[in-house]
Amino acid sequence: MSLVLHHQDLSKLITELSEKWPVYGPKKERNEHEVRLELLTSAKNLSLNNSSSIVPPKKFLFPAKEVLILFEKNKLKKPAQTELILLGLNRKDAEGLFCLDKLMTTPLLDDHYAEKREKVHLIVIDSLAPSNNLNCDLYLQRVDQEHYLVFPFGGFGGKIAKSKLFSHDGDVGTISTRHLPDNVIYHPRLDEIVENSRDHPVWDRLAETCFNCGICSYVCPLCYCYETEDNFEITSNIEKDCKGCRNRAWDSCMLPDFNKVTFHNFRPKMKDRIYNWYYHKFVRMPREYGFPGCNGCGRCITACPAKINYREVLKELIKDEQK
Amino acid sequence: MKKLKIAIFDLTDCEGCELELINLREKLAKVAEQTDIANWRFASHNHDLGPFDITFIEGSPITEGDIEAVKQARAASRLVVALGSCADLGGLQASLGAKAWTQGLKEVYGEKYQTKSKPPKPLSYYIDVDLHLPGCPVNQNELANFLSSLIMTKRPEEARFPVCLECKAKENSCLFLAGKPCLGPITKGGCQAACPSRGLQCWGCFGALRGGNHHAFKSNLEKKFGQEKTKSLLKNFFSNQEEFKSLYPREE
Repeated sequence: MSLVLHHQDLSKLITELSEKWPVYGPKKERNEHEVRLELLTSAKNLSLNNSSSIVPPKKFLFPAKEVLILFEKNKLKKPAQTELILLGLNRKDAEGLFCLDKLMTTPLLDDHYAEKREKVHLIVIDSLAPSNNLNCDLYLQRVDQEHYLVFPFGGFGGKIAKSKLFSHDGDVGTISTRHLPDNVIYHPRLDEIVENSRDHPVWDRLAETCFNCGICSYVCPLCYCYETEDNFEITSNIEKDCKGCRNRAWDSCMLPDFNKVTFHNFRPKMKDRIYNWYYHKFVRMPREYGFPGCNGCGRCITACPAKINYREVLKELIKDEQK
Repeated sequence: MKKLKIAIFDLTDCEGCELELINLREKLAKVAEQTDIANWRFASHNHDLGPFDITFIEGSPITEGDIEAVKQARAASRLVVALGSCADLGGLQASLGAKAWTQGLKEVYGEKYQTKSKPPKPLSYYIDVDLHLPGCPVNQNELANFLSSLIMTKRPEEARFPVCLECKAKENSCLFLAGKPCLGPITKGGCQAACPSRGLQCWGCFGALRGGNHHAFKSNLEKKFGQEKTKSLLKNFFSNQEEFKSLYPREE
């Protein structure tokens, strides 16, 4: 007997959950390509196909700009985090979050991230079976047009799964083994190939096409570079009150001043910065974490104004290596 | 501590940046309490002649009188801030270039007209500028942070990212990919993607991003919109910047 949710009850589930927690999920606006993770109250406009949101779910944990610490004279305070549910992520995005969790908590713990992460509960919806690389609370596997198989994980998932909307149904038990075409470029020696490609002409070519805008990093579920800045509030006595906050905001290794330390820029050439982007994702991260800094979501490809496709770049490197 | 003595001067421009300063409302009142706004034609009766700790100059100098005035202001000030794109980049009026400027004056005022004006240039063409606060108009958030930083003797940071960062942060769908000649990828950010968030392409009013790949962007634009349109787009706000000059080395 498996735990089942009927598709027509999904909307009711969202409404039920949103009475207790804010529920966010992929919502389509004008068309299938304009999906954003926004507040939901029902399944209206919920986008459950595999088109990904413009900005990945990292925005709830590592937003474009956030306040890390509030200060007032000598007192420090951390901003309060709200508990929320992130519903309707596909498996790929959930796996991306799993990797981001690893990146932000090991070997050093980013406690700002961890505090947010603790309050974010995931409900994944996908036609694929749940994998091992998920930190989710509930997994809804769409087995046919009508049914979802329900897999609760941990205490919070168990609590949600007690809802009367879920039923035990003997008939729906077949776990589909269908796999989507996997978009991750795989080669057993990819790290070596990228590492040894420093003199490959592709980097010169990219340096002539890439705008250096950093969009590929902003939309990447696994890019986590940031910069911090202290801002003071305008009070009646700014100096005496010394009230303000430390902010952190997205940064990108593609940006010209990213590698500026005091007055020295140690990676002033675009070509080197582009190589470094690939090097970090496909050489360093696999060696340090056991997974590449890319989960194949393809956001950087759809968002790149210069239409650069990293898959083509990797394919070219792999092809030329075999020569 | 002694109060910071501030002066705000304006030259050829629309006064929109000063208006943004006034639009800070309560915040500006609080700033005024703890500083000495010693000279501000636009909003104050004070017209102290200096010396000043910080002088904001808005607009671009176009007459000999203007040039003399900014030189005097420079000599009387510890820090000079170029407020807004007219002061920082020369503004839209500088995009014409010397030839078209003279030609335009003739067309409007007739052949015999003796003008006192020179083709507009950014402030930095005549004097050393310490801090830049670009924008057409400047962004209120940036302005507020700028003022509080100065009072706290913290050097205000200039944005080192393009418009695209704040645009993606707002989850806008890309106008450049939608076929509009949006200059966001090579324009300095800080405006919180004001135009793209309202469906309008970025015109580059914060100036060209230092170190951006302007060559790549230019050739991409040219493929889509042709050489002429590309040049006129880039010329609007970038015409006096090094980035533009390296793209069009033979331009006057």
